[in-house]
Amino acid sequence: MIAEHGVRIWAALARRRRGLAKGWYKYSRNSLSVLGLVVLVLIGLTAGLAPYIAPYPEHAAAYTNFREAGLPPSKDHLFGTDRVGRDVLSRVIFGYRFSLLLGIVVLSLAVPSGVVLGLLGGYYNGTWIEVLIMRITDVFLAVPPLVLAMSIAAMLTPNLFNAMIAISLSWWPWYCRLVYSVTASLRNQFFVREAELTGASRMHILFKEILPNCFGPIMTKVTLDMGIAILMGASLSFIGLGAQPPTPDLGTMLADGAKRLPSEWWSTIFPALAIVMVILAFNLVGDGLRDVFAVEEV
Amino acid sequence: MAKYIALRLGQSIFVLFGLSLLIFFIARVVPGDPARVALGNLATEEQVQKLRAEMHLDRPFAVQYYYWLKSMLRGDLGKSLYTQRPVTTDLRQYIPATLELILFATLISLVFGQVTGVLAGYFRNSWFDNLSRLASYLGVATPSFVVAILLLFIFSQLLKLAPSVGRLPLMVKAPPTVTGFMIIDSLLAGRPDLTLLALKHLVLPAFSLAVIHIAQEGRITRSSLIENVQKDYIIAHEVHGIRPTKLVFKYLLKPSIIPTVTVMGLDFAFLMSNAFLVELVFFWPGFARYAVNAMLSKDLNAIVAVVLVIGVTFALVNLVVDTIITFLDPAIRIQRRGG
Amino acid sequence: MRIWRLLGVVAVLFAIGACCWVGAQGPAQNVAVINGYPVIWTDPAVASDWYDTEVMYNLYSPLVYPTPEGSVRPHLATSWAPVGGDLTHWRFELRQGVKFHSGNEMTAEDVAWSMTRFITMGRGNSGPLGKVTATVVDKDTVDFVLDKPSAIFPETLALFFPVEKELVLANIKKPGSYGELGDYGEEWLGTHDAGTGPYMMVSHIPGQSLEAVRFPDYFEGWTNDGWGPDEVPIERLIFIMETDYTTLMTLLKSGDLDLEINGGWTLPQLQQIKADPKLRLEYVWAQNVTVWMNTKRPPTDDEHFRKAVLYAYDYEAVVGPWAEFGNGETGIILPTMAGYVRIEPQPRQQDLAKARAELALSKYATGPVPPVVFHYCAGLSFEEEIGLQLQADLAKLGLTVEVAGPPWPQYSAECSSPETTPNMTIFLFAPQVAPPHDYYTFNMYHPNGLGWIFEAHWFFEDPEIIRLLELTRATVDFSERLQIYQQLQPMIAAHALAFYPYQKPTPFATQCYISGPKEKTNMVGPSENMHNWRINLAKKAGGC
Repeated sequence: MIAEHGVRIWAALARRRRGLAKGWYKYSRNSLSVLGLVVLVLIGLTAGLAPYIAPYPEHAAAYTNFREAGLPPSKDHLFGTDRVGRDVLSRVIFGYRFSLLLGIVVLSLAVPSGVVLGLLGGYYNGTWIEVLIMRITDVFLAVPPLVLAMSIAAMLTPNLFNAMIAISLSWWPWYCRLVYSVTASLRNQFFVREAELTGASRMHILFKEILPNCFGPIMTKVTLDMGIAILMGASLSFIGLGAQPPTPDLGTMLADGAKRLPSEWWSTIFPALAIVMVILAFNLVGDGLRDVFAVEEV
Repeated sequence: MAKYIALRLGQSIFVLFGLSLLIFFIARVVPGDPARVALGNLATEEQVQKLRAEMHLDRPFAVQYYYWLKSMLRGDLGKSLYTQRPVTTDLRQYIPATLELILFATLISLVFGQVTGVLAGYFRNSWFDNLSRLASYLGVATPSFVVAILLLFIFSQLLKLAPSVGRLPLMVKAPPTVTGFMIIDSLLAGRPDLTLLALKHLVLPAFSLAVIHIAQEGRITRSSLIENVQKDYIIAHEVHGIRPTKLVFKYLLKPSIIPTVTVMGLDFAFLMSNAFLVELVFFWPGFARYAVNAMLSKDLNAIVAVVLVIGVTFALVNLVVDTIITFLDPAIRIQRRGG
Repeated sequence: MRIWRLLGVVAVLFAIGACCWVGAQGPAQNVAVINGYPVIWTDPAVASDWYDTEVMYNLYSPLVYPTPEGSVRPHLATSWAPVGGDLTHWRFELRQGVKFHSGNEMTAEDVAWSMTRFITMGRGNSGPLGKVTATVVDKDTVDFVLDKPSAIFPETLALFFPVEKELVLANIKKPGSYGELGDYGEEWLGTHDAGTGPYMMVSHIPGQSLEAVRFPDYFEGWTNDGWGPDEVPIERLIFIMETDYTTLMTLLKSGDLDLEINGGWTLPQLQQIKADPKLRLEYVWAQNVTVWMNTKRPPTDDEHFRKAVLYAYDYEAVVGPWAEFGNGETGIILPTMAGYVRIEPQPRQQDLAKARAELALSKYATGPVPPVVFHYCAGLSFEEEIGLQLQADLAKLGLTVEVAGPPWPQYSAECSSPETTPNMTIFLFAPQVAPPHDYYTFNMYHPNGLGWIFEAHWFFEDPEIIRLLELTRATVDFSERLQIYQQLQPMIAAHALAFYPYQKPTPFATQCYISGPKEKTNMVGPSENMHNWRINLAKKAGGC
């Protein structure tokens, strides 16, 4: 009995490892995706180790030195200094922390709520539950997410956390709809019917039978959306509805610096490139994942 | 077909109703006193109270919504607190500017997207194909306001090739407004010089908006081209010695129209929201800039109107795109008729 | 193929356009393009912000005109005096032969009706006037009866701009908020004017542009006394309302922009303008940067704590590079105003030892100190810079400052009660309420002052300050009043209700061929009255 159990676990692990190896093989065929992964890891490390890497970690917090304001790039300040004399490089490094934090918080709010609602909507296809959930989803999808996020952010006190809330509120419907369509198509599949007939609980059917089938598309979308969430966060900050000083936020830095173009270009261009890099990395990784899961689904 | 459109319209109206409720609610719970903001810094408390009563701000939410809905159905969206004019007047002034921008951006992305797509597909795996792939990745990853700032910096501020802000030079008197499209209005006024100026002003903002879509449409055209190039009928044509250009334009581009149109519909939403940021960078006196100002200054009526207009446009564009696709693709047409 | 033909036609059209475009240069035009802040309201009963007033002084004339020292002189009214001894009844003699832009002559009826309209609408600058009843005595005399005595009433009328009664009446829109009188002409006055000012409105797109032409029959005339021989009145004014200073810089450099009156330049831009021989910087009025400390909210409820902030702030740090553009010392009133008194801390520099000493005296000497919440208006980077500086300075004392910039509607709504006002709120007070001395004192420190953002310190506990403030409004003689103001300034400063980082002169950037203003006033408006400016067309055509 125990031995049988052990064999089963062993087989499952082996299968998973083989699956991973297969997945990695598919992923690594696209050299751009590998590059994206490398960049992403580097960015993650930079953000995680920011206090040790940044040349002037104190510049990310309350710090001003107007005597050194607006200095061009030099060996002391590789990216120059901004309008209150802070090192732009240090702030970009710390800025990554907040960008990643924003992406993670937004998705960990939006994905679970969207997924649960989507599962319910799809499973109770044709009932009032589906109608209620999906019509509300439609309302939230009736305007582009950025517009909705802006309207919501404008009503809250502007800060990083509220920006995250606003983006999450405009983001969950996309997951809801994604999971809904997968669930609705699986609703009448054999294995779901079978589970129902054997008397499995609703929870079991929704989360153990149906949800794993949504895993691939969700993972791919999450990775791609990390980039988009970061982009939306930067957009909100750019308008002034996001992070507040002295938080080193890439969008705020960009908005601030843009007023001082062209003379102090470094306080704009470097944060701009930093934003592009992190979004690009997430997109490349997302593309790679899409290759992996697309084949898996077939 | 008519039944399908009617059904879609009905759905849209329902959704827009929900949207108006949502936005109305959001706008009403914003902290800040719109009456105070509207009256300026030196207004007396008495006056503020009076305006609050006039705007029904002292009544419960449901009553406010009722009054709003009642006047909205009469085509009255209320008065903007910021510009002190009817919101509809403001919208009439600002929407064409944004539409001009978005349509021009669409045109740019269509032309450049098709050209790069065809070239990349034709010279598959060449340096051009790789470059366009790289550009497409970059294009998708770069927020449009970053593109806008970079273009502004390079072409306007460093190279001084293009003007930086507005629709016309500030000193030039605009032609009388007929359509609201500067390019058309200036031609109607017999001032092709102004058309040229307007175009010069349009190029950078439109490109900032279009970059993402050029990249995407290029990729779509390319993959559609590659997919179809292996089809039998193309090979047969090739064997018959039809010129490659004719082959591309007559037979190969056609199948890529459906995905392109679909993407264009989706793009419209993106163009619309990206216009919010690009208009800020280029000080484009358009709808999106008006919307941001309304949101930041708690201009209740304007916020609701702005979001509704976006919702309506969005719904209409989706409807049009779906209808076009139905016409273009016999398979879908039959499927819809059957269902 | 049809498409190619169409493209051909378009190409030809463009070619023609390009030719016209190249050949469009003409001789120097007598036009001044002026950049101001977006003006929405041009109804004199509604206009209130300082940038509205700037335009107002061109289209309308006030009853009395502000003088550089802070009092007023005759303008539409030639003389005035209180009737009876209790300062509630004032009689004004009007100038004869003043013409409205329509050509009609102004009468006491117009003035009285305008006052009634001003008070009834109760908007714009009418708040400080209280309830005024206007009556016509004869064609050139009008009486104003106030609801409370005021010695400064004539001076407050520097922001009262009479309109032409019949013209406005002919253009009211019904229904409106004022019953019989409809909207009282408010909508029409947004795109037209009914004034007596030196310029007549041609067009106005709210928030975008305003165009006006010279009014030849302006009652003060257009003589060239005191101006050079080539300096002629400006014929046409085009107010643009651009807020992107990179663009404005380009326009200024290319000569497309003649005058910029907002002064929102960045430091590098100002240095560039200063270095350009073709451009000129003119400092007219200054604004007082004020950081209120809410005396009803911990930890700024403690006087010693507030004094610690005063000493901890590094005044030099932010101002440093701006000093050459006039930013510097200020106090309760602006240093350029008559009767200015220097206030503590003196000298104005960071003194951490003194700050620590004050902190030790406060009730926050031991135990946890709540964070100091500092709010500024979103988008105003100089305000944010002061917040950041304070954040860095107070960190040296072990105190936390939370800096945030909510959008204006939220920010201003916070200041409606002591409970919701943050510990510190920063404002830029331009001398926009007449008379300026009263604005910076009574209106900012008396319980019956303007309240709200103007008194976000919420301190009204000192009876002696209140008594003296009331005395200023009961003193008719201006120089006597100045003495009271001088006495008041140190008394107010002793409570450390605010700190005043610096005064910010508004740099008007202008082309060398534009001269003016002939008279500089510590008030918004008179200096932007383009009657006070001239243009040199020869210089404009030939370069300076």
